[in-house]
Amino acid sequence: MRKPSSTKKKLIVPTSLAFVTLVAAMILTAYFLFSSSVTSSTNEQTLATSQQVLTNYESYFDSVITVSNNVLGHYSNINEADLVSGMKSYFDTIETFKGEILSMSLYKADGGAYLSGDSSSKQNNASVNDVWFSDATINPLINIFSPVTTANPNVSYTFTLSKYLTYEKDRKMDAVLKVDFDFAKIVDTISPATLGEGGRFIIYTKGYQTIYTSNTSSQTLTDSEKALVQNLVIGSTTVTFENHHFYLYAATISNTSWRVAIFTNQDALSTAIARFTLIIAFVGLGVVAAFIAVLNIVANSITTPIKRLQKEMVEIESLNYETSLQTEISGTSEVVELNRSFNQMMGRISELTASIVSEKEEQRKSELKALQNQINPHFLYNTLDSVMAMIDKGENEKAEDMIVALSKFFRISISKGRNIIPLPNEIEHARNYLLIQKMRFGDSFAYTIDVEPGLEKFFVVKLILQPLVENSIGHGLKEGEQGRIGIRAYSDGDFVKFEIKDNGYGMTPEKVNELLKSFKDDTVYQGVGLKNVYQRIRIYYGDKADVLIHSEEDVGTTITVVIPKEGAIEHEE
Amino acid sequence: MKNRNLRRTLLLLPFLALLACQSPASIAQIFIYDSTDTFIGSLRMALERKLDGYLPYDDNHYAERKQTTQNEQTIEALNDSRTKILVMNTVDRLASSALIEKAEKKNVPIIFFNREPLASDFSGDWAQKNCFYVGSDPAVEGRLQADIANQLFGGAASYSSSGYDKNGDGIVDVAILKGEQGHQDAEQRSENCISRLRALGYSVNIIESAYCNWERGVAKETMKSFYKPSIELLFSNNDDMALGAIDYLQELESASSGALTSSIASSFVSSGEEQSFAQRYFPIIGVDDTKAGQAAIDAGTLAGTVLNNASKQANVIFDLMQHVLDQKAIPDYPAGEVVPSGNFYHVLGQIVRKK
Repeated sequence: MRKPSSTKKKLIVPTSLAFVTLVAAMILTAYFLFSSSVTSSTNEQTLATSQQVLTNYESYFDSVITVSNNVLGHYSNINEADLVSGMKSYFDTIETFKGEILSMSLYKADGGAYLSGDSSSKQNNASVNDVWFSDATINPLINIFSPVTTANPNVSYTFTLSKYLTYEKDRKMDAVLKVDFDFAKIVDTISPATLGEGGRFIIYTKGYQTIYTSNTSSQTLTDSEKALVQNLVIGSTTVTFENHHFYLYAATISNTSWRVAIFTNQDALSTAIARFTLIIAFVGLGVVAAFIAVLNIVANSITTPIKRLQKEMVEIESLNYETSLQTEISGTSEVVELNRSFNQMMGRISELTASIVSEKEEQRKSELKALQNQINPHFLYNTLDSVMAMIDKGENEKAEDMIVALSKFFRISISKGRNIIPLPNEIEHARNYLLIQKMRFGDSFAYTIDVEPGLEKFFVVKLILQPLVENSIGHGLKEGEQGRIGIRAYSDGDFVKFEIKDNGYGMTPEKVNELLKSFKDDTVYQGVGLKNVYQRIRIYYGDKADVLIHSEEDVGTTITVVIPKEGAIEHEE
Repeated sequence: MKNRNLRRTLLLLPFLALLACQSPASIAQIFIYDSTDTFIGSLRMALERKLDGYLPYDDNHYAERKQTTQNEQTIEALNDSRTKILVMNTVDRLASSALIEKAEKKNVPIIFFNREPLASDFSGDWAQKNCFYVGSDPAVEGRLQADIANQLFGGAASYSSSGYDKNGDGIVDVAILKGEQGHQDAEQRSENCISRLRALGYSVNIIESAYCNWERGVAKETMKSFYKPSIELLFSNNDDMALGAIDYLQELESASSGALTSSIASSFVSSGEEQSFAQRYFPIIGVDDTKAGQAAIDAGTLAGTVLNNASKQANVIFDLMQHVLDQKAIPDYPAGEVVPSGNFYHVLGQIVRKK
């Protein structure tokens, strides 16, 4: 069978488990809420920033397109006669307003011959194979944005805007406008300032040809960048490359057929989430630890009183009724109530025990009295008969001595109603008895009394020697022989022993056994005196007290009364 | 046992409800560049009438003239597994290539309408099979606008005597309200109405031209800024903008009651007849034949319009949707109505004048 677990364990283990589960659930929830909200808010912010950048670029390209529209408007209204010079001065005017324009020139749509241009233009004819030129003639309605065609070592990033211009007055004069823009200046002013470590900003054509990249290590889209933007096309996502986390936003730039990709470093996001996770884990652990500590205190306050009760109960099992929780046990109301009931119960038990003990005591006393009373009457008659005879004989002095002895004998017998008397008094009692008997029976026997010094302090049940001495005189003395009775009191270890020795007939071992047997058997009434003494000392002193008989036929009998010293003290009755 | 079954059924109820809430397995997503465009609105409604009973649709994607918004809407629709086809009226026709590239990744076909992608956008193998364009033929519409003017003027020879040549110089002084920068319809209508007029023998002078974003309100404001009595003909890329111009003229008329009218109309030979709106100001010619446009024609304020056949275009869009979704053959359209050119389907316009 499994050992039942303690209340404390039962209290702490499931509660702690439940609490740990709760805290873990809360930590997880907090983690997911935090990471999702911080991720989404960061993403939203990054998206908003990216869109703002896009908006800036779109408005920039709108202004670029406005240039082309203005040129278109101007061209359609100009007179054919001053087309070349009029456009030239118009271009020069525009260039003074728009610093980022590198050059402006016009070519005949049919064939690409140079028509006009700004003051600094090179006046080369256009090739029909040039993308800017062919695209413009294929799609006359839209503005064509193309990467720069002529490498200019002084300008890192340029692009070309070309547009087919319809000349309504004479369609033979339809033209293609070509404007080169310095892109780097614009990028510097409207590109996002902070994209984080490794963050970059790339503008590319729909064919993934690089127009501009802020990635300083490569002039064009790297293969990994290209793979990422080709996979996304447009929209936003999070990507990891070059050991960084990025928020990637890709979009079309209105009216250009170009696209933009913005890589914003998001390492800070994962760091923030990691830090939060760490903090919340620590807080969680702290909370759990604090909870278990508090739980422990609470459990102790509940179980300690119960444990004390349990300890007291164990003592009750070992029959120590003295047990009582004298000090009030503090604890929960139930425990206090339990304690109160326990104390009440203990009180009741000791009350009951006490009453049983006193009843026993009363019973003992009455038995004792009854037994003592058996002793006296016939002795009194006999003695008084003897005194009468002495008076008759005129032995007044002897009678007087006898009466004095008798008086002493009875004084001690009565002892003011006490059962327990000092040991010397008991000896004195026996001596007076012997004195009286010796006077009655003449000098047919002699006696000696020998008390070991130091025994005076002991108290004994009264009238234990006299019946035994009476037996010795009555049964132990041989006819016509000088009898000897020796009384000895001595200490033997934990016991006080009284020895009554005679030199009478003695008893057979069978007789001795019979006698000993009769002590324990209430139904047998042999050896009244001996049995009486035995019973009384057993009542008073318990099992340790005993009466020993040593007898040898024709040699004599020795009766030894054994009394434990621990009981041989003055005792309140 | 019975009780248990009942309980089980009750437990299942929420899930059944969820199932019930889940809309159809496949839908069409319709994207509109601007919710206020009347012509696109009537085209959308014509298309939806055809779609009813064929395929559920979600048309709640209005970009309000922001391609960025439309890109986001498209991405969202492509992420929806129910989306089986996109019907797109882009904001920026140059964004088509990106949209096609994105849709190809999910293998969702696109039918473009009204905003024409570049021919090169359809060059990929996937696009060849899955992308189509349906729109009007703006060049034809522009030419028909010129034809309406020609009918009004009674031919190039009689223009100076028609009463519409206010200054009597024999040259038509034209103002143009253009739809939108870069829109193929705007550019082609504008270009073709003028070139056709010239081809018919007229001398033309464009005295005003402005982009009004297809909008009536913008056109009215534009008219306010560039109106001058010397305008002899107004071409508008659509009816809405033409009505905006009329709104301004009517406001002008009611403000100055009769005084202005007499001075403007001084060049007309007094015949005792009451002059028409076109005679008092100048003929205004639109495109689309919207409901409001028809009302203006009936009222005599709009001289004429070219039917940009919304329901016909919707039919062709529907045919192409069935083609890409169910491999149904594309019908052979009558030559005078629909002109196919590769994956581009142009629905021809028709002259609409007061009967």
